[in-house]
Amino acid sequence: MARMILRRLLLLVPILFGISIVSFVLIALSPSDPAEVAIRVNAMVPTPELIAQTRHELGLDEPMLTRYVHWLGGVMSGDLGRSYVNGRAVAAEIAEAFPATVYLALVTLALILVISLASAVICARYENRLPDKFVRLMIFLTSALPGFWAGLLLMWLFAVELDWLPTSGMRGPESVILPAVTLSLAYVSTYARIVRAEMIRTSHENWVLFARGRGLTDARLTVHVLLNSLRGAATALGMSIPKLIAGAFVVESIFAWPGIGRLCITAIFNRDFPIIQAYVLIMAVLFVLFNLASDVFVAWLDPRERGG
Amino acid sequence: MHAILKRLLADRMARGCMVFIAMLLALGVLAPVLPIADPTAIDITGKFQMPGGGHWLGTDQLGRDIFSRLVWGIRTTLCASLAAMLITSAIGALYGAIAGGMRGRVDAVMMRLADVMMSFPSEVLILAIVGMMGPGLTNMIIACVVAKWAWYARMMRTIVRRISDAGYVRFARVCGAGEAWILLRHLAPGAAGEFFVLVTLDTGSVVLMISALSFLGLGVQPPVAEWGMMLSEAKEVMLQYPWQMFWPGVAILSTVACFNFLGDCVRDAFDLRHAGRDGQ
Repeated sequence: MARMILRRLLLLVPILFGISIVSFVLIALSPSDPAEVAIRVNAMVPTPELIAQTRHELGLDEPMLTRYVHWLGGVMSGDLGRSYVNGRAVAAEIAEAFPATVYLALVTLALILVISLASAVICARYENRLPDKFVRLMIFLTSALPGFWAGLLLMWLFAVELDWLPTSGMRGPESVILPAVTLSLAYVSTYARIVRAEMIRTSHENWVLFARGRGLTDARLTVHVLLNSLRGAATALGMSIPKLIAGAFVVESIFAWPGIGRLCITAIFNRDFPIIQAYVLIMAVLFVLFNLASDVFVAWLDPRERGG
Repeated sequence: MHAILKRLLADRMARGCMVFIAMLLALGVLAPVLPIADPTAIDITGKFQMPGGGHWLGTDQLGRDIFSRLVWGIRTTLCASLAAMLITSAIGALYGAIAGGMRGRVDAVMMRLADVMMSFPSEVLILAIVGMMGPGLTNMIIACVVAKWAWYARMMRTIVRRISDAGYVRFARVCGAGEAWILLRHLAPGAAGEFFVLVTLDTGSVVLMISALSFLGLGVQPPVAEWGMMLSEAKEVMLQYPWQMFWPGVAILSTVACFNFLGDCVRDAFDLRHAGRDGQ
């Protein structure tokens, strides 16, 4: 187990290195000169002298490799550069917005678990009967539902028409409900499908037949079957946490949720490159770390997986 | 191939989906010659009309015909998505096939590069690339390609590996079949089918991504009609005219649902139960 973790950690090193290169090179994609952008966003006129001066201040006059090494050094010590717009440290901006996103992601995760397990249990108990078909139709529709449309409809119904919940922002505990429900819709279908298929497979195994023969009640049997069908979903779920954080930008933007996704979108409109760059880097690092964590978790659940 | 097509056509729902998609494509292609209103013609005095009269689905905040904007939206949303899919799968297939065929060191280096690309969540990479290059349809397509090619490359490599290790291909090789023959006769047909299934399964998510970016204002720029952008315009008038949100959403939902369903059907027709939506 420890050897597997160590091996995987070593394999991470080249990947993380690659991630840092890609994140750094991204800025070269910009058709405009970052120095000029940095001047313009502060509503100044970019004269050639000013551009030269800004280039020097931002270190843009140095060769790419030097800049990369410098940037990487900064990243290692937690310095992600400064925002072009307000001059604040990018790390501080992200640290401020991060808790909101994590909060949203965790609430969403809880919702996903509850909704998808409940629908999977219903489907498996009534396999190919009316409740199963109905739930599957709903699941199918949510998998095709554009999250932003669902968000708008929910906002209109619950915030405008019924006036039960706030339209946007992060005020009070109830304000998380609409964004979390919207975000969860996209994922429920995946898990409900996985767990349903797994439960139906499990329920045909011999030990289930044996347990039924022993006279176990249906309810207890369902619990056993469910618990024995969660492995696939557990792996997928580990991967969803970073995807929930990463994919939240649309929902955050609709509901004006003050998270990092919204921070990045605002940065895009302001052409605030250092924030975009930091956002990409952090997301990718989170993604690979969670990937590793979920593999370790699976290995812990099932010793057969420990070899790889 | 014939049997697969027959199995696919036997499915009533699959036929329905194919007809719907074909209809959408036809409408999109024929939009300029169809007798519908100009999607960009502004008529301020006739804004927010209810459906009926000269406008089947009413008019939007600038008095533009909603039906005609939906039809023109096919051209942007669907064509952009299909273009992105086509380019991504072409690059991915070629890259994966080369890596899978070469093996050894070349394969290792090529796949390490792909691994790095896959360590970025694709939504984030798309957002960042569009963010850096600036909003626009072309940039959005480029972003989708950059963010997704590696996933396709890895799938293709796995498929090529599996097929070229399969008994019948080894047998052909032992019998003295040339590499070109094996490639054309065994590898290409086998790999194409499986790859096609994965591409169909993923198209819906690309449509969602492209319309989401346009919704955020990062994709198509006004006054071009695009479903996601129509929704973001509708959002502005949600309080007074909530029904403005209805049709663009229905358009996206039904298109994506069709692609997803067709993807499932194609997978069943190819009998690839194991091939899931694990592309992402």
